[in-house]
Amino acid sequence: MKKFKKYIKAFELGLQSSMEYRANFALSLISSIFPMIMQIFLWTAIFFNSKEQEILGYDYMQMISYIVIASIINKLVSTGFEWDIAEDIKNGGLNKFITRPVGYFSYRIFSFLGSKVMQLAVVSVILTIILTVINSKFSLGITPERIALFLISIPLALLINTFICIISSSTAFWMTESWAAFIFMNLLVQFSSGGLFPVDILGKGFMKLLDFLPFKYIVYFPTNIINGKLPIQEIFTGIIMQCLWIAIMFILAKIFWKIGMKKYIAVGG
Amino acid sequence: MSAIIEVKDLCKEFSYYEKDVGLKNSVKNLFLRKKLIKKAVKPISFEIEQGEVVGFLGPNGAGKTTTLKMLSGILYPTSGTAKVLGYTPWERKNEFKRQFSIVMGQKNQLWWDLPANESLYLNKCIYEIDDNSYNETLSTLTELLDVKDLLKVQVRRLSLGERMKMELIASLLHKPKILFLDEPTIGLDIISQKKIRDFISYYNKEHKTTVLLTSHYMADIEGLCKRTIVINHGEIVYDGELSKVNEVFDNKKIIKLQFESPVETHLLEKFGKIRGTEDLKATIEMEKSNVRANIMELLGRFPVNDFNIEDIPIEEGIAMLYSKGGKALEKV
Amino acid sequence: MEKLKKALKTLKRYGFIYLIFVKNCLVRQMEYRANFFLSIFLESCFLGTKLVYTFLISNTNVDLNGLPSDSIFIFTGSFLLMTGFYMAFFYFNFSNIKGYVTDGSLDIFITKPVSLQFMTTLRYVDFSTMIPNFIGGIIILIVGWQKSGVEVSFVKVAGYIGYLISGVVITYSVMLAPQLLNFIIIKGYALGEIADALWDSNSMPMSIYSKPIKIIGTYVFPLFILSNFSSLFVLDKLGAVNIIWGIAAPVLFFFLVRLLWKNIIKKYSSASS
Repeated sequence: MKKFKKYIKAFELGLQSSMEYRANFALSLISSIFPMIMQIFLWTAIFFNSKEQEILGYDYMQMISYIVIASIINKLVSTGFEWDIAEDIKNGGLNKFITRPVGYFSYRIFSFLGSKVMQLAVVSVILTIILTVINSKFSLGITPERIALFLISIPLALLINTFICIISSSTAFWMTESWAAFIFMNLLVQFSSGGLFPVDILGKGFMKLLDFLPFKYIVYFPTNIINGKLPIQEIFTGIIMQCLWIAIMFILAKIFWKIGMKKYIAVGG
Repeated sequence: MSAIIEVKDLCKEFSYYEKDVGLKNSVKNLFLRKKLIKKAVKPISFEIEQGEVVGFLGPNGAGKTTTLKMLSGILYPTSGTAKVLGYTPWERKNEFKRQFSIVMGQKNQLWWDLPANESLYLNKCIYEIDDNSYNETLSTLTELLDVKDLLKVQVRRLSLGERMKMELIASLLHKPKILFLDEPTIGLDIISQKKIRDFISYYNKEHKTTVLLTSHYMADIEGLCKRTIVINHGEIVYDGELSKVNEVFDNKKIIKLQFESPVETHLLEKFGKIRGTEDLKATIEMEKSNVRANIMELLGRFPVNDFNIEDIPIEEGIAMLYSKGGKALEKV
Repeated sequence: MEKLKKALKTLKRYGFIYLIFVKNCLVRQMEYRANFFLSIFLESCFLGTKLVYTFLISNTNVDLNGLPSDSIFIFTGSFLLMTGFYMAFFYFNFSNIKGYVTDGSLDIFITKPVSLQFMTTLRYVDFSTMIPNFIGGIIILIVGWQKSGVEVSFVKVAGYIGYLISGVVITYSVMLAPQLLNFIIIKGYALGEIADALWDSNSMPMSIYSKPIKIIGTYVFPLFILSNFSSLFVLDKLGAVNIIWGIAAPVLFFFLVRLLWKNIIKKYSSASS
């Protein structure tokens, strides 16, 4: 238990620092609303002016509910600690961990979770409210079954994203221009995870490509569970795929990290 | 003749929020924060004549830099007045800015990735110096400081000492009447420190530029300033000739000794005041004039394997000043 | 007469100083070639995603509340050009302001006999983000121009450029304000995030928004002016009121931001340590 105490402390520190930066937090929540609003207006205009009921495989209600839910989930599963890790690598902050009986990975993850708790709490409340409203207006057919599966898929999605972030961070071991890798990864994830718009509107070819990548399981998949678009069978398959991707990403993260640490220690920190 | 710098009851207070340790307090902070006031500069007054080189001495946080920032127009005072070259600094008139310079030891005004001469050229345009003046001044200064070959080298490749020299040149291109220097030798090696000091001294004699410099190194003040203003906790504790301050500070020296085998304390008492002993170490405070003789005797009689001769730290000296009846404001 | 002469002299001097900034920045960027090319690459990726989306929307062949689907390219092109201007001349300066405050560089700028606002907001020019946006923007603009069947007349082109310039001034004023407010809310980067999120709301023509939003976005916090007015003018859809507003607004908001600047600096000078 004593061993665990330091990670609890890391968690606490993360939580504390997130409260210090509370204005930040509120503002960043607000700023994530604008892209969502623009999308809503855009698709409203499109559907309003179109003679078709269905565009690119979605009808109006489905599109709007997707956009709203996806934006919120995007916030729920977001990471962003690659900058901190890169800092540590560049400035030798890692040394603190090599010379002390504290695992860096675990420290970072606990600290991250600590800072995420407040965010998760607030956003979950918002999500629940939004879902209730949408469900009553658009009758998405949310069953307790779906809710349960949804609640499982979210932490899984967060884990996938976390490991992607760790892999991305490890580029800091090799490149001074790791910032470029971060921005590129962020863009890639943003685009392919379905956080802004449903990725299947980009066509069958693109979807086939995404089948071989973990990204769509981060936002696209959980969103389509709760908005009723995915049949139950496929949800189960999807969750298994999420677990599979977590395993793959975890192994990759460990490998990258190990190689990176070797280099770090060889160079002398 | 009126002074070039006149400061009357200048005062500066800052407000800030208190942050306590712990999770519970973080949550409390979400809703309620305690506002505290720090008196960085309690009302101070002094006057400086043209051509003087005055040192502001004091420990960290004493208020030296804050005072300098007010005199250069960066900060507004909470109350009080100041007139520099006849202007009120915080009105920030361009004519005022063209006549003074401020160099801060820890901050660069030169562009990091470019050769120094590019930044110097930029200053030429900003201060509207004509070509002839510029070339002449640049040439003279670079020769004096021996950095002529370094003009084309990127600033980030220069050593700290070389950078400081460039900063000085950049600040003197427009022949300012007043030069404010904030910790100019901080972080420099001894040789560079001396070079900078010599240069400032020479420049001041040649051009009668008034120099106001802050430092927490005694050596800076000793080397340059006839007059010293000692500031502590935002108040002027001493304003006068350096030699008199020396009497308070430098009459005594501290000797730190390290022995190979234990030496009984009472055997050391004759050399001076024992400040502390520890295992194989001893610290003795003695009169400056006795140091040489004492050291020789100590080295001869005891198994000394290392020793250090130090000045009395400024904080102590200032505390001494305080205990000697507070502000002894003597003017030269 | 004297005043005019003096004003011209000052203008000339500032112009000269600005050219030195540009030269210094170019030299500096060329020093770090890897960063330069990576930056161009990344910016092109961002560009790419915006274009993919534009093509997608235009392929639905639906008109956006009065705007034929082909015309969307003109809007996207204008938006990209504006983004190029913003990133190249303003963005890095604006986002550095908070840094200047914390590391004390602002103090040094204050003591220089040059307008503080000029020095702080225009010091850096970034060429890497400029290039993809300008090139992409112009190409898409031309595509849109042709697809919408707009003629290439002197009036159209001059008017377009004119409103583009008005857009640049508005960009300066409107994007500087949130960063200045950051002075008051000391810690944090989120105000910048909001401003940037708002920026991207211009990537689609403003016709998609509801009336109240359009009014706020045109008259109160006139973000929409920057890329919409030039495009609307070219499509002959810019109403008389807006034709005039497009000229008056930049002047008005520039003065407003200047006032805000002066007030914020006053506050800074009373409070920094």
